[in-house]
Amino acid sequence: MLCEEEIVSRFLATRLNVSPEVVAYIREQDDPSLIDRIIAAAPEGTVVVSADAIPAVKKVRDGTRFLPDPAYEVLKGKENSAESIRDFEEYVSYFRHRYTKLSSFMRGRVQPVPIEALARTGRYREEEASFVGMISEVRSTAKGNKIVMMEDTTGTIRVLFNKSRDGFAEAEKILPDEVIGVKGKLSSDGNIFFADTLIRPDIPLTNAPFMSESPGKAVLISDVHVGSDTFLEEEWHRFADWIAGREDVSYLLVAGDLVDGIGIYPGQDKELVIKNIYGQYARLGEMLSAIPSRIRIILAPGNHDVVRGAEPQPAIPPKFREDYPENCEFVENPALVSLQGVRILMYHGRSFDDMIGMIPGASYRHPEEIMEEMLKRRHLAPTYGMRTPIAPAKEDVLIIDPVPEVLFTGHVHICGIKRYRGVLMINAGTWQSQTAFQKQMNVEPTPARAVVLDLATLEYEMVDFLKNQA
Amino acid sequence: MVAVSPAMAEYFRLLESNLNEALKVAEAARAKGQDPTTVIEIPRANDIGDRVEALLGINGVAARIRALEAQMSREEVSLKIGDDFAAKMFGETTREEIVDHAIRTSMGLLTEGVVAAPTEGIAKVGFGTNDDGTEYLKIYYAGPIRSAGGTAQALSVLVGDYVRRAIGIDRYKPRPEEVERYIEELKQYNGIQSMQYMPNEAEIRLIINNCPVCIDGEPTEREEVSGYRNLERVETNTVRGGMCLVVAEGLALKAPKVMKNVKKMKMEGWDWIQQIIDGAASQSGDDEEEESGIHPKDKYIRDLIGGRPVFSYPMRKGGFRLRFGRSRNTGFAAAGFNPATLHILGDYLAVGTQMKTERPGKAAGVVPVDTVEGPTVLLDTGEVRRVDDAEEARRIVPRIERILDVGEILISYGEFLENNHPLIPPSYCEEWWLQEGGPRHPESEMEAIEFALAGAPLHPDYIWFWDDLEPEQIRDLAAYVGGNGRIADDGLRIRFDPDIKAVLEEVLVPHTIDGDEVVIGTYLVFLACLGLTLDLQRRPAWEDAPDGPSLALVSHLSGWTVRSKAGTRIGGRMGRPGKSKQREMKPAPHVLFPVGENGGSRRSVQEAGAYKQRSNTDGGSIRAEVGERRCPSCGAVTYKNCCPSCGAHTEPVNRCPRCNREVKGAVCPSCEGPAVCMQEISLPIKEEYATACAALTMRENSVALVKGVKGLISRERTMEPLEKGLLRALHNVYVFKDGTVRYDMIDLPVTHFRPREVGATVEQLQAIGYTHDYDGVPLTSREQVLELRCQDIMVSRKCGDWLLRVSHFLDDLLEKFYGLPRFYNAQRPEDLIGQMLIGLAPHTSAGVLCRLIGYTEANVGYAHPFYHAAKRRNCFQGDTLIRVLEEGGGWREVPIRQFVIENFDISTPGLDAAGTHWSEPRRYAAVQAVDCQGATHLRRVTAVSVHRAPEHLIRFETSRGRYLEVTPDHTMLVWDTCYLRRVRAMEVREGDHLPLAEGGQVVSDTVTMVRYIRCPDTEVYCLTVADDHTLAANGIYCGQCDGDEDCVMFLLDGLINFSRTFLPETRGGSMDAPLVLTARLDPKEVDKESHNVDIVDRYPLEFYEAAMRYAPPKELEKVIDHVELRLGTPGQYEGFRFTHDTADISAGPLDSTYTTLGSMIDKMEAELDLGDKIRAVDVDDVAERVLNTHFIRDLMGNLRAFASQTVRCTKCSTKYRRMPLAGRCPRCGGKVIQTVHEASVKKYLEMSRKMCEKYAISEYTRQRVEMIDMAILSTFGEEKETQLGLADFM
Repeated sequence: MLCEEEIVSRFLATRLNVSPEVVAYIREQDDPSLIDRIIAAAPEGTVVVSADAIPAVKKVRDGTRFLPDPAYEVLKGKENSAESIRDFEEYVSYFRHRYTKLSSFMRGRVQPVPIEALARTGRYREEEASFVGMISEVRSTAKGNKIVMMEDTTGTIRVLFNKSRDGFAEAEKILPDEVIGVKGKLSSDGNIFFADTLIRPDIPLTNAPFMSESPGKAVLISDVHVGSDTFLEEEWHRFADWIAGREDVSYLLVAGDLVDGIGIYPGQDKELVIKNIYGQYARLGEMLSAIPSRIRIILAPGNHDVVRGAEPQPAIPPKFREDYPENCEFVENPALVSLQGVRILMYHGRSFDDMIGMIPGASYRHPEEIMEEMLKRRHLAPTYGMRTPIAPAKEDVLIIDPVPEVLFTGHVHICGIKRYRGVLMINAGTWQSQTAFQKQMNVEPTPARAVVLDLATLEYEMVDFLKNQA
Repeated sequence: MVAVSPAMAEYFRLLESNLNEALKVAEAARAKGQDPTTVIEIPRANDIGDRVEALLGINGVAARIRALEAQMSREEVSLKIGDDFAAKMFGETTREEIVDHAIRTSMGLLTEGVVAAPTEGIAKVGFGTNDDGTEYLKIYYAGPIRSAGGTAQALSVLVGDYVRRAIGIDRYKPRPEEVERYIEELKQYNGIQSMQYMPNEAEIRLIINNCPVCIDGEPTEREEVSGYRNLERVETNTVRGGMCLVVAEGLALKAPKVMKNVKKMKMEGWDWIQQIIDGAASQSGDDEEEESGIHPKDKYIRDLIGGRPVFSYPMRKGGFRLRFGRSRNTGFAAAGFNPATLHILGDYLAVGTQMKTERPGKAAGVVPVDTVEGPTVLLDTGEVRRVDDAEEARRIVPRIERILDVGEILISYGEFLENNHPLIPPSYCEEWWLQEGGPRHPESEMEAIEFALAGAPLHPDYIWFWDDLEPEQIRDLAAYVGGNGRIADDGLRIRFDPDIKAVLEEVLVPHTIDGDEVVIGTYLVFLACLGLTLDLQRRPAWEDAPDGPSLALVSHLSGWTVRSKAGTRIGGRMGRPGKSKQREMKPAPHVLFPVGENGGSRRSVQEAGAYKQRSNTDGGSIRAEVGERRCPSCGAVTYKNCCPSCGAHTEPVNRCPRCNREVKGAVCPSCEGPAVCMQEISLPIKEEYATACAALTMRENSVALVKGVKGLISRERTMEPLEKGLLRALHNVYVFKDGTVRYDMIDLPVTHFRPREVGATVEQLQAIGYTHDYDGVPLTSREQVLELRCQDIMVSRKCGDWLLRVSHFLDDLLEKFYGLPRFYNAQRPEDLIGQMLIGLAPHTSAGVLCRLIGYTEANVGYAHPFYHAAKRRNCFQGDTLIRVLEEGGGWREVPIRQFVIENFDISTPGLDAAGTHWSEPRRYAAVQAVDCQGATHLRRVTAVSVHRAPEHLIRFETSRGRYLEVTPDHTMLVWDTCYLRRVRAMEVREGDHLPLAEGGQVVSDTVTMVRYIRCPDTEVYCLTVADDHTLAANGIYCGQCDGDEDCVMFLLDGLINFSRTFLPETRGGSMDAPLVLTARLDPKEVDKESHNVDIVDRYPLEFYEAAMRYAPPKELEKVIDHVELRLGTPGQYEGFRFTHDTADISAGPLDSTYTTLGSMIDKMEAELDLGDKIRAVDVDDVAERVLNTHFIRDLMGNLRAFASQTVRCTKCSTKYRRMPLAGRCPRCGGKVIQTVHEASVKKYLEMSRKMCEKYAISEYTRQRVEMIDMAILSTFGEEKETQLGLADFM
């Protein structure tokens, strides 16, 4: 196995810097000759060798596009696709589907051995092997190493990540119930597996985002919280006026928490200006009516909305949206929508709460970093049983598949934008100023911002409507 | 020596001699060799401090400290000692060493040398360079500094400064960005940990800019700051918890303490501390707007639980009226009510039921006091009547239309003192009136008027509730009565009018309805107060009548002083019901004798004896693992305590199972493995049974069923002789795991009793030392009132029957088994009066010696407040960190002190019999609990509690750096091969394995150190966790305390039958066992609350006047005699008085309706029906509150739990966080099932919907129910089973 230092120094020897992605790729391939080939292929004047320089990597886009007319389509999470729980046993198929699907993303990078074969037979003892499993337990040892329990459908095994090995930082981020591949060596008694390399489903290095062939722009916002006493009414009006004047915008996407809801947290009634839940939605309806009807509005629910908390959350029920304008479309959470062929995965982001608590260094301040972790795991809410309730179904709709052009979330009330392997990650912030709870938690929200996404270039622009800035 | 009068000395001598007598009998019985040991195993208590003192010690400097301590205070010494270090008196070589040692030593001093702070709280010290080139001192604080407490944290900085000067180092001059870093970091840390106090930015700036020492720290959190990163002089970007604590909870919070020391030591450069104090002081001044007067407090009804009715809303008309005083059976958190009140309130309040009250701030135990006023009710005939008689109350209950006034509540001054609640105006009463010039109780209304005319205020019996009326209403009433009334023979007759009737119901003047007229019988005062003459003409006083207020108006009209009868109303609702029952294990054995699987599910000894291994064989024996014992005289090996061949007492034999050789002690000297005392034998159970029967001269079929245990679980596998089981079965008593038999019950305080109440005769009481009544008159009648001695108790009748059976068992045991004379010879329960018992609070190790003096009808135990206060509970040190999941929040790690304080419902705390303050948590909170298999579960916190701290705590440290401080009798969990055993903290040894919580998992860790430390605070804290009763504290899983009722057992039973060797493992499971016995109570050493029991026979006028002006209770501390004033004098034990007598301390309902109603639906219905009737209750609000605080919470919680539930294997019961991929149990292949079911999610849904329909529920709550209904529908789909009818729910 090549170590990071060695790879880096090989590049440095030729006066080249190398991006971590490339290092990871070379390690994963475990092919020393690759280094020379990459160096040889590096164009003149290169300072940093990025993923583009990897010879085998040819950008491919995920899936073909059939563009309907009008150029808008809900690919996943159409209204009424979330089902009630028929049977408790669904949890078996739910997690199996997650395992099967996510392990298929690692095919080619891991040649998995069934865990039972590893544990039961003697032939892998002290041998190099690799396998894919779902995490069932994570803990740290006294020495600071990581021991995880991994399972597949055949059995379970303990896997140790040594803190002195390369890539331990990634092992520290292992979350319960994510699916990973490991390469390493089985112990002499077959009880424990010493991992060398950790492989995640991840976005392929080759991922090339699709861009719309016709011009078009979408505005992304989230967490409107209508009804709360901290909802920024004035800023919203400013926004509504602004969007009416933007002739180039054809879509408005809202990623959940449309209203503040009722009974979401104790004592909420004291922080509401509209205490009637129907009233809250009616108010939002009025607000949306002021937006030109040429703009298609796509609304997804969040944890403050009237629907069940368990994900996938169904769309807002019809009785709450009676007076909404025609151009409003209600989708579920999560939902994958295609705007002129550009796929946007909308997810409210309840799982931020769980992931921020478990990933070292993660904070509410940088939602985009958590979103990157979601992409690496190809899953929106990897951990079950914590704050994100999950309703089991035959298939796990929280898996990120296909790879979208944009991952769009809300929930944390802090704006964050970043690109990861071609996927643009956007957290749009909120329309609510700092709440008492956030103040106590020392969360500074970034309210009243809208992100304008150019569908033809996948470039974005951020517009701030906050009082003293606009 | 404790101060006692000769009489009390005699009492204690009597107890002592009774104890000695019992000891003699027990010694003789034990000497027979039939028991595991030949000596008594309950020693008399010696102070735990004795043992502990030896463990403390300060190296080298100890002598110096002692010398300094003789001259100055502890705080001063901690600074002064720095001079010695600076002078290198103790061999320091470097500057770092000087500062390091000085700070650690003084920290050690300040924390009494007990907490981790000096060693682990300070990581290191170092020196930095100021921008002007001078040097400054840095102290690196680490996480464990938390254990030092704020004051010591702050003073450590002071010490640093002191030493710094001594060795000539300059002050710290912070750069601006460093100050900002502190601000950011403190804020961030507060977000992670939630500190007790978060200083504002100005305060932080002030502290950092002025503090002469640089407060630095080790990184303690995972999070990094995002703003002020990579500063040159700050070594880490990670949040430094120790630093934050010292700044916020130390310097900022404890500024006054620091200032005090600064002044004392005359230190310079700390004047800025005063600014913090001033800032903080002005802030807190704003909060206290209550200058005088009080406002309704609804905290006690904030969390309404379905089925526990509200009796009175906060300060609402018709609620409980405050009467000041202490009856024989109140005080010490018990409040008195007229028995009629208890009946009329639906029998919910039985004697011993807890009631949560609005003020003075405690829940109250309910006791009957018939000298206070009862309720006033409206009957179906339209009659309004006050009911003071329990009999009458019971009779009229079905006719009650509405409860207009629920009567008086008797609360003592001591309760106000204990809670530091301002005194409040009480209802006007005779004892007050008598001191305002009232000559004697008036015989009639005429006489009352005469007294009033003579200048006294109007007598309270004839005062109506004028102040509940508006002056305008009084005018209207006078006008109406003048125009529509007439005087007839039977009283004043007024033409019926619904509005006027309503006013009369408000003024609570008793009246009846006759035809179309309202008849008021006692009308003279009524007319006078309305300013009407006897021929219903307006009196001249009307001409200059004031506009108001109402009382002034009626005083003016009548010409007499009319005081408020309403006084202050106090809200109340039902708390927990009481309990009284025999202690039984499940299944309940008669004897600790193994029957294996052969005894069947009933563990029958007879059935096991009939077992045949193969058919056509003799059978009668089973395979069993028993202890190996050897006879020291003849060498025979047996399992019995007494050698079957020669009759000598046998001794256990330890063997090493690995080396298979006999060893001395519990550890094998060669392989160091644990030795066991065990042999697997064929136990001839049938033969044993026959022998036992023969020995007792009983026929084999004289008892149908003797129940044994499945197997022996103690280390030595000691078993009881089967004879004991036969006798227990014969007398229908069950054995507890330690060999004793027990009875559980709720305890109430009482200071005086009547012989009649306790079912004792005058002669019996004279015989046990009650020769004179409390007035010093010789005892001749059963009606005389006697002062209760502090270790005497009265138990319930039910318990009496049980005691009688136990005494028969013990007598038979002595006579037939030990061959000794019978001891009790009781025919009736009364014959047992004067016998000695042991009282034990659950999960404590010290029993309290007590004497039985009689039986009460109520299902409670009555005993002296001191006796209750002597039994303590076990808990955590306040800084212990726990992780809780809160409603709407997330996981949060907080010190238990903070959590308890935040969640302690100040207005509705309970006080259990052991002097523990508890309350249900204010908000939903849950912790991770661990079961005995080591699997974790999310469990609800059901109570939080504050306890008086004992002298010492035990501190554990583990190899992975965890530590924990608990009271010595706290429950700990220890790994025993594959399961977790509960042991007492004092039994945990170095090398034991504790379960740790790490990253959501349970791992094992080794105890590296066990040390007794002095308790730093005066309180310790605990939680009650549902189901598993465990939680992780400082990351170590351990038990919690169990707020439960107390139990009693016979002294002789404890002395003869108790053996440590029955307890699971030698050190395990000795919870609840009477390991030591407190023979004499010292009031100084019992819980302090009992010191606030007032013991006067009347409150002076001065007191009532103070109450009228809302004076703080402290003002009268010296005026009203209470226990505290008498401590250290003989008067601390006797000469107590009370202000109100009661005829019977067991009057009123004996069982609460709450316990007799079955389902939640029945309870809810009954609660709402009662609420409908009580004027002081808003039943719509009750319904809404129950929905909000119980049903909706339950529905939402369960719905959330459903979609994140764990699963369980049906076969091996292993629990999994989520469904395993294999779909079956990975361990055993069993079927895996859900733990939260659809039905349990929906439990309250239908009822909530119906409540929304029937009551005026707010739209908001109504919609919440609707939302949940929708969410449930969308989760589970359309209803599968048939709908239940409406009648099924309401």
